[in-house]
Parts: sequence; structure tokens; C-alpha cells
Amino acid sequence: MREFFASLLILTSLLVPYLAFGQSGWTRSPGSFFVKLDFLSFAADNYFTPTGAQLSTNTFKQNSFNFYGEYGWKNRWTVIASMPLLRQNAFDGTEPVAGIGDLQLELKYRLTKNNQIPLALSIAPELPTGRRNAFSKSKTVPGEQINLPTGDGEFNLWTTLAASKSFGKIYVSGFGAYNFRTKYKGLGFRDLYQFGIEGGWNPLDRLWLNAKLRAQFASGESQHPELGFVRGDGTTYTLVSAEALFKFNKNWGASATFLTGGDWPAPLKNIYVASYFSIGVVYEK
Amino acid sequence: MKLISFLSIATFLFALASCQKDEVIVQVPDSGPNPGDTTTLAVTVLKTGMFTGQNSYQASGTAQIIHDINQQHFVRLVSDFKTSFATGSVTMYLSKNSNLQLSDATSLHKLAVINTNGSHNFAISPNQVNEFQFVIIWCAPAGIQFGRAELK
Repeated sequence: MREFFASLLILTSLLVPYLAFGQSGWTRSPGSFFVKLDFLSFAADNYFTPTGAQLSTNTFKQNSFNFYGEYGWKNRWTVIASMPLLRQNAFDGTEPVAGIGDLQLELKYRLTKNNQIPLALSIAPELPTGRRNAFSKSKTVPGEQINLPTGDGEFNLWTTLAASKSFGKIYVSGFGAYNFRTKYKGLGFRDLYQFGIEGGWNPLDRLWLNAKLRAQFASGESQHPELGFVRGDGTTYTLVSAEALFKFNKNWGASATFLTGGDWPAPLKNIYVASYFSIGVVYEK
Repeated sequence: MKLISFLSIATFLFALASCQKDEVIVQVPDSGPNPGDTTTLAVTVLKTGMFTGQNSYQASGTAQIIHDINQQHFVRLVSDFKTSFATGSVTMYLSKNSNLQLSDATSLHKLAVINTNGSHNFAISPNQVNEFQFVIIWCAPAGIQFGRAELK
């Protein structure tokens, strides 16, 4: 029970802000930056097991306050950092547990010199800064507890290749990414890979809209089932999101995002699924 | 007999180390050539079942209902018992149904919360021996059944 934990974490940490260039071919101009703080509240009783079977369980709840930042380091180079600043997990009937999440640092380089069809490559180590173990005690069954960590406890490395193209006020992006996962207490995780597409539109001066589809797959078969629910080994999903961002002035803005899960092209496995909203504040300079 | 004595002591020590609330310490060997032979084992095995995992969770090993020479009855998880403890702990139940029905209190009997694999023993009353047909492994926080053993 994330990713579970991590499976949960994955589903609730996928937001990439509109004005950010996260998984696109663009990089920021030197010295510019973008910061976003967002909050989400997620509740689901719809769990898909590591084999893909659907279960109705006690309701799992997560509240998360997240940071995302980009900085234009120099021409064609962008540095990105993201991290849940506070994540609280609980089931109905258990005491909540909280902590910071895993820190992801990303270094992105635009391979193409011009911006006609920018193509960028990035590497993003994810450091196990979150709580590796956070036992949530049952309120109804004395002695019962469940591990709901706020991080997966493991170092891993994302490598992403992304391309974009703009057509006036419309743009499209696509990316492919591979996550090289390592071990937790000597037990090896399966690697993950993702594909995604994104379309955006700027219908009004201060309003931006975008829609995204992201599919995550796992390589191979589970070798260590004990890593499944708690550590998120082999979590797969299809995530669809729609976001609206309104800028109050040159620097400040607010965003609202709707996210939901699907089972195509990537099946839902080892993950809690529910539709939910996220709201955020952005600052860009 | 030396071997039997050694097994008894080893099992006793292990049971002591892994004992949880509501669980009892019972001095019985892990296995023997004739499980029903009270002259060599000092316990009588009344029912046996093998655990199978459910809902993608692991569960394996043997569950038994036994009584000792004092006619005290126990649900016993043999040393080959294994399930998924990566989540934390599980609650063991006796149940009349193959799937635990918490809404029907008459259909179940809570044994104990455990958090280790291997041998465990839970005291029950004699009239519960034939009242329940299943031993259930239940993750209470998530409300997921990890496995069951049908007692025959």
C-alpha cells in the first residue's frame, strides 16, 4: 500500500506546473526562475493490487504541500528541484503520520541550438530524504499498525528526453523517461519507464490551459513482493490531468489542476486511484 | 527423545521471543512423524489447514487446532507460517466465513495481533474448535484480507 506508499506518493506527486518547462524541450533563460507551491488532498478506497486486481479497502487519505522550482542556470541549462515539504498519510481508523518527501534534483540541457523544435535531455537523481518508515497506529485494533512512509527509502535516477513544438498560442510536448531504481535493504526494485504527451493553449493574455497524459510502466516481474505496497515497486498507471493557470500580474499567479487515473495505455497496478484537485501559487521572474 | 526435548525447548524459546498480546506460550514441538500421536508429542492435532495468499499478498504455512495434555486448546501457527509483514502487523482471526465479515461479530473470533513469521499459539475455548472453519490473516488499517487457511 504508492509508492504503497510509494505508489500513493507517485500518484500524488505528478504535477508539473504550466509555466514550468519540466518535461518539455524548452529550457529557461539564464537567471530566470519559476517557483510553485501547491496543496492537494487525496482520498481513495479504490486500490489496485500489484497484479492489477481491484479492491475496495478502508479509505486512504493524503494531504501534501509541495514545492517545485526551476532556475535558468546558463544558456540551454536549467536546474529543477521538487519536493513534498509536508506529507500526511492515514487510513480511516489510523493515526496520521507526517514528514517531508523525497527530494528530486534535475539538471536539464537543451540539445538543439534553436527553439524551432527544442529537444532536451535531463538527469534527475531522487534522494531518499523522506521518512522511510512511518507507522500509523490503528485506533480500533490495539497493537495494529501500518507503515505509511513519506518517501520510498531508495535512491533512484530519472533520465528524460523531451521535445516540444509551439504553434502560436498552442504548443505540444512529448517525452520519454527511464527511472533506474536501486535497492532498499538489499532488495532490488524494478526499473520504471514513462511516456507522456502534453498540449497547451493560451486563450487569454493572463490565462493558460493545458492537458497531459502520462503512462508509467515497470520492467520485468516482481522479485520482492514485500517491496510492493509499502515501497511502490512495480507501480504502473495512466494519469490524465487538466490545469488552468491565471496570472494576476507579471510575477504572481494561481493554478488549479484536476487529476484522474486510467488503465490505458499503462494498466493500474499497486496504486490507489481517485480523482482529485490541486491548487497552487506560482511566482515567476 | 533427546531430539524431541530439544525441539520443545527451541520452540518454547522462540515462542517466548515472538509472543504478542493475547498470545500464549505453549510448549509443543514444531513437527513430528505422527502429529496425532500424543505419546510422543504431548499434543493432539484436531484440525489442520494450509494458508493461501489473497489479494496479491503472501501467505503460506500451516495452521492447526490442537489441545495439550491439560486439555487446553490452541490455534497454532506452525514454524513454516509466513505472510506479508512489510506493511507492519496483521490481526489473526477465526472465522465462520472464508472472507472475514467484521459486521457480523458472531461470525468471528479475534485471536491476536502479530508482526512476525513463524510459530505462534493462541488459546481458545473447547467450544470454539468446531464453531469456526477458517483462520484469517487481516490487515486492519487497510481492511484487506491477506490470506486464509481452511481447517479440516
